[in-house]
Amino acid sequence: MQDVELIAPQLAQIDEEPYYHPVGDEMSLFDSAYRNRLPVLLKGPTGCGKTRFVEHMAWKLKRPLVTVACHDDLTAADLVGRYLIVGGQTVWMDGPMAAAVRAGAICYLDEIVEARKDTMVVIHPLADSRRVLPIEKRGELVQAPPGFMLVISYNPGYQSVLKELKQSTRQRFVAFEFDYPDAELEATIVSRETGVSTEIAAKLVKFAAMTRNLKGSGLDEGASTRLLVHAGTLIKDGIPAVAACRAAIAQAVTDEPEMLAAIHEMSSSIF
Amino acid sequence: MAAPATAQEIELLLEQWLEPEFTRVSVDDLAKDIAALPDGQRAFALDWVRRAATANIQIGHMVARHVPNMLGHMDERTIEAWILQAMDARDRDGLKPALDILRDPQRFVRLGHEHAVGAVFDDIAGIMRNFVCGLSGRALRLEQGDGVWTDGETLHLLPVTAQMESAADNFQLAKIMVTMLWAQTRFGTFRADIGAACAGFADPIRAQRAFHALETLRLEACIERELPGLAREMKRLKAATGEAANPAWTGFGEVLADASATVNDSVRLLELAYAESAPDIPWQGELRPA
Repeated sequence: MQDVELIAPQLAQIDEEPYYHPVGDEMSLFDSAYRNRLPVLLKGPTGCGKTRFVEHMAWKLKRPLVTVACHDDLTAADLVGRYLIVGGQTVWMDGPMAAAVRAGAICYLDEIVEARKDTMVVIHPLADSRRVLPIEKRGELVQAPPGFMLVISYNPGYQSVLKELKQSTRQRFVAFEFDYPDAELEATIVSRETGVSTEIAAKLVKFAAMTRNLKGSGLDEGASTRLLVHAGTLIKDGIPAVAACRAAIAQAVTDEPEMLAAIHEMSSSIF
Repeated sequence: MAAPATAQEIELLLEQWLEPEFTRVSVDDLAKDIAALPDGQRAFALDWVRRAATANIQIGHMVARHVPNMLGHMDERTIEAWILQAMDARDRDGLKPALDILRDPQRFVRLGHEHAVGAVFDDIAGIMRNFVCGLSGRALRLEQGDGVWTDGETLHLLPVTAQMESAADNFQLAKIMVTMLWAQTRFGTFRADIGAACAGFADPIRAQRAFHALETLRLEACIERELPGLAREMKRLKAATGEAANPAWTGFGEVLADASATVNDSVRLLELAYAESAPDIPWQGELRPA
């Protein structure tokens, strides 16, 4: 198999600083974990800034970033790579994780609990002191260079018996929890990201707080910071605030008619 | 076939349908009233008297008595609905409920209007429960009751909110009522000893009404700061009710609009407010302190 061509995707670094406003000590913790070659687990609700944080840290640490959005059908082979037939030749194509390991990149597996269980076979040896990626089909053991870092995330709110992170996995990681920023900071973020005034941003944040009050009382999740940014973007573009909130937030968080109507009444009360 | 035109002809029909020899109720005046109607209305009235009398003679008699007058200011479909409701009530619950409906046709019309444009509790409760949960962050209960009031745990709304002319405005009114009740719990109305504050007045009930009106003004200001979109709706609905502002109450409102105002300021102003006639605020509801 030694003569089989290996194709490893080239990974680019992030040139422009992704906007991220720290909420606590997450930046220094991440920095320390990176320097000490420890993998990181990020917990938190959807749209609270986990992915943006990883992008920012990849930029700050000057490492390429490989992001994988995990899903029900994601297998270990999808992460590691597979043989392909290209022009009558058999070639080996590295998957995103193998590419990240070879390049010494930050590999971010978003919503890891969604992936199939066999992915743990390749995650575990990378996430402990061995820091190796076994590529079984090639009979290869790729040693992660010092620059490589494994980051995974999941939303504890979505956990079920079928989709929970096992202790044998989670106890390999330095874990820190994310939540939505406090109201003042969240308004600053929304204003900075969308260009809307701080007054409108503050109203959007107040609206989000009302929807978050409904978590567990009819909603699985309230409006995330990401959705506020969407609504703010529409408002900045000239869409009336109530219509923007309905399209970007209410319709995004629920399909239930009475809940939709209630959320609409909330936004019309605030704007 | 043309409807009988003269009072004598109509009286003969009414004697046949309403059996006055047994009921001892005269039909000659009824016949004159029906005879005075235009052709189409006369035929309509006689048709319904006949049909109602086949169900029950007393019902037929009531229909004959009220319909000529009702035709002057009510459309035929509404009158039909009124009679049918009475006949349904008789079939379902007996004669007395049917006669109660027939004795007060204006009430039927009023209820019909309320149900056409009113915010019916069962229709809006799901939305309002979610709305108030979003406001409060806790699951305040919302129940149908005999008034608009709260004990701090449960918000009560009337079965139908129908003070406004349109369905949209009545929904907004119900939403404002729910918000005002939430505001009582959120902004501390019940932190005052309301009973004690009102007990020293010659008329404690009047004092409590004045205190409630003061608190409503204070809470309106709180809502304006928290929910400016809703405050705009409140101003619009207030303007629609057309009530003239009392200068004394305007002054109280200015004091209570200060962001630092608390329920203690309402208590402090009570002596002055007691002397004034309290404003009629559509979403004020009632105060029922424990």
